[in-house]
Amino acid sequence: MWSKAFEIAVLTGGWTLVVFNLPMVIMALTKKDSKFWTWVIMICRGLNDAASYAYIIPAVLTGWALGDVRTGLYVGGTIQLMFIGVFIVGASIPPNPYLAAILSTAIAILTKASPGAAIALVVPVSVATQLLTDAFMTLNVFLVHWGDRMAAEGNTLGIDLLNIIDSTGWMFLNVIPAFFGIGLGVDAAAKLLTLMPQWLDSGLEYTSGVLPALGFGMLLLMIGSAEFWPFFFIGFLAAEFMKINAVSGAVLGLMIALVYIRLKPDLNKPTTVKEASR
Amino acid sequence: MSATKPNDGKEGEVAMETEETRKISEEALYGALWRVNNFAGNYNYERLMGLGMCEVMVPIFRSLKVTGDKLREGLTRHMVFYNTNPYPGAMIMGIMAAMEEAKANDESFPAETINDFKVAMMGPFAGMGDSFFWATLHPIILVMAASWAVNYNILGFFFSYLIAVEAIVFTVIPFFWGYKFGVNIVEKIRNSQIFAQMVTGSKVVAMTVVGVMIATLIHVSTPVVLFQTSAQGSGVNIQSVLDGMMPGLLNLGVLFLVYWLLRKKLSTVVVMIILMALTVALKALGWVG
Repeated sequence: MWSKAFEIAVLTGGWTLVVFNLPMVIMALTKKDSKFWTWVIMICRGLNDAASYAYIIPAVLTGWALGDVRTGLYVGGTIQLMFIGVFIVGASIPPNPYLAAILSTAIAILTKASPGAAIALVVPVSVATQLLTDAFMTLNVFLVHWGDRMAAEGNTLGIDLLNIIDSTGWMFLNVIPAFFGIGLGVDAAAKLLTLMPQWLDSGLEYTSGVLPALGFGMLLLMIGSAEFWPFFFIGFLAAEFMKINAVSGAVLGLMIALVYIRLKPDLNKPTTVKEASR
Repeated sequence: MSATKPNDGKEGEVAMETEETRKISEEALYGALWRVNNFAGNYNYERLMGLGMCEVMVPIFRSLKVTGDKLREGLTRHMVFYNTNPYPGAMIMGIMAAMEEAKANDESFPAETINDFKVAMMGPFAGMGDSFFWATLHPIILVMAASWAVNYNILGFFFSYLIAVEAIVFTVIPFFWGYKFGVNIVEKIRNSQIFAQMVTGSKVVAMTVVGVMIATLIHVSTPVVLFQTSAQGSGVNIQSVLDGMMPGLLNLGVLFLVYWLLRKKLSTVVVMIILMALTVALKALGWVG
């Protein structure tokens, strides 16, 4: 179990230490920047960023390590839909299901529980991640004061290293609990799940088909306005009566958007006409 | 800058050398670029991305040969509170590099302008970036990916990596544009109709996709039959009554229940628990299924 836990910890974040944190530290220490390594960092960083927004990625990687990508896809996709409208706005830290995606997938695969029951874990775990994030951001307040002293001394190397090493904390925040959660928690979770009555299990299974409504509700709260609600109903009706899927829905939306932006007066002020004719 | 001619004599040449315009080297700009990506390394409750901003300036100051008191002053200047969306934020960082370059070349360049500009820009850029990238572009990509994933299609996994492409493109381009065009780019964006069209258009796409997803991804139905008697086929099947009105009415009902709860300022977690409790209870009662 521990070797699998380690493998998952490496796949879902540990790799970044070697692939981009190490070159960063080397460039900071030698005070020489390289174009090549910048691109390496940018690309690997992009892959890591994608994982931190798309919870399908950690779930599938966990599933891959445990030999069941299908469960990873289902659990990751469901968690993704639950959290589709949850993101950092300004400086408020929302619950973060990155760790939950890893643990739910692992428990669903290792204990052969229904994915619905494993997804019930998402609530407590994502709140725990939120609390850990809060704690880390409070710790960072002390570190930024250290940075202040370095700035006052003109210590560029110190500032560089402080921020680079500090940035690994975001990865450890998820990866360390994932490692111990899988290493220690799976047996306990298996015991807990055998105690789960049948009605609760089938109820939670059902919940996983309803929870996407939460993510979409959050999203509609963000972008829904009198101007845009009609497009929601166009999409809904198109799917109900013409049975279109996500991709054709996106294409349909794009076509409507292309027409709409031509017709909306605010977006076609005379200044553009002048510029266009110039 | 100065009108010194090459044949002015020795003194002129010395003056020219000291007044030679300093320019950020290409390597240093790339050094700043990967540090831009590290903006949130020290995300904290007091100054958010302050240290990240300061780190970006490290290779810039190094390349401009800013040393001593000016370096101390410069680093302290960039340690202030800073928080914005990372993608348009890269543009602010590029503009900061251009401004520091201007300041290194021109003593009279007022230092306050640099921070004033930063503070003035971070709010609007955060609002714009959050509503465009976080609330529109990401959901479009992620909803499509998730709709594949819940149907066990591996395409959902690979499609998610479109976010990586977005993250790279929208960091690199804004950063270099910010450096190249400096402050002027802000006015350009503000007056640009194409940008406004993109924002509106992507919202239209997002809303349509969400509508499609509500119809296809939420699975609620009810097996309840009213007025059932012993006769075969008697009773009123609620689901078929609802379907007769409009298919997917229950899906919309669930969505608007959630929407209404969220409008009541309940937190995500509370709504999630309510939703779980409700479905488990209704399922146990046999009202949904």
